Amino acid sequence: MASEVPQDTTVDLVLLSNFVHQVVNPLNGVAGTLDNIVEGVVKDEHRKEQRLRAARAQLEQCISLMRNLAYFAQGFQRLSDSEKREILVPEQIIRSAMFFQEDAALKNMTISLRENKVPNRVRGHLELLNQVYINIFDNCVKYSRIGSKVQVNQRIQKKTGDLLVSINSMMEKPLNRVELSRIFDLGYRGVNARQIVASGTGIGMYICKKIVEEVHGGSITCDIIDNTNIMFLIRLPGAYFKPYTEGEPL
Amino acid sequence: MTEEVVIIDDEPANIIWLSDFLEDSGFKVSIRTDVNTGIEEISPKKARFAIIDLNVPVFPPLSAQVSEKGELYQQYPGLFVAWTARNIGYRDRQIVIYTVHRDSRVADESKKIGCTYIMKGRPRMLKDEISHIISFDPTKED
Repeated sequence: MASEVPQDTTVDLVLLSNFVHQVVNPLNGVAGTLDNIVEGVVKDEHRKEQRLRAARAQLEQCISLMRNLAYFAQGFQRLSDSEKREILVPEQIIRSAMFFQEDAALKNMTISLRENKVPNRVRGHLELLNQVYINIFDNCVKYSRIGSKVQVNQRIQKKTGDLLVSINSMMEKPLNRVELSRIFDLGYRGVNARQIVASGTGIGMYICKKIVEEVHGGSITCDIIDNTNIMFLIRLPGAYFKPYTEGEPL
Repeated sequence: MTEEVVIIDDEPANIIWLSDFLEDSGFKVSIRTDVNTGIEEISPKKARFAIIDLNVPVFPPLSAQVSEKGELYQQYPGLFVAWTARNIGYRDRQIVIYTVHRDSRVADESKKIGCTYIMKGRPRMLKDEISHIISFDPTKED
């Protein structure tokens, strides 16, 4: 029996090649770190722990990249009600930011959520929305100024009932305003980003837009503030405030 | 005096293991993240050897010189560091270049320049190559 090949199956070799590059780099870091520890190269116990934590962060980075690829391959459809679950917004933001603790520490950076104890909630897809925050924080940590703070705010807009999450970071190199409209395009990387890290996939922000807008019916935009900062604004419909219940993290 | 090794890589978090390995081997390690600062680091003094990622950013005024060298150098700006190093007195075994992807054009160019070209991804291979370099003292051989 002849095997059937779907007509619309195409492979973007440039994208795939970029992915390989982006995944091999952190994996190389993990393998090198483990090899050093096995061979006794890293002797100091504190440093050893620090290196293992960094290796874990590198593996998380690989998982994020592979998830981006998987989501890209699957396509994006609007969520059905049965797929939605209640998401505690500050918990989700803090958990996503924690993936970047090690990388941020290396650059003496912090990620701070101001309304970290305001139990706003939204109904959506937990993993997909995690990926949105992870992709944005990844960008912020990679391309922000050493020693700077990534400021996150979350609130519910009274007029619309939408959840608004803003993520504001200070760029190491300024983004040209004319590039703003292309930030969410597939494969696009800002000139400033390429000046800091030469290679990249240019898929992270594209995935964010698809997840927020096509899957959740919200919106995501970005803007330049005072020529030095970039601010992402995520808007998700149907948010509500509900006090913490027993067992939920404060 | 402690000898210096220069690493040029735009993602330093991913090569801390290499820095640890070199420091454990008795070297002082300097990491630079682009072509311009990389050349600044290797030019005034002679490092024992340099390890260069080919996918690194380059800025003016050097970007114009990189462009003049052709498409391959534009695609892999780290080649310009290797070429510069070889033209200011570094010997072939003192310059190691690496990429994630195999590229036969880079292999040809590295032969022409005279430097070692390896693929990124297998830390043991890079360590073996470094051990090979350490076994050679450029101040004692022609």
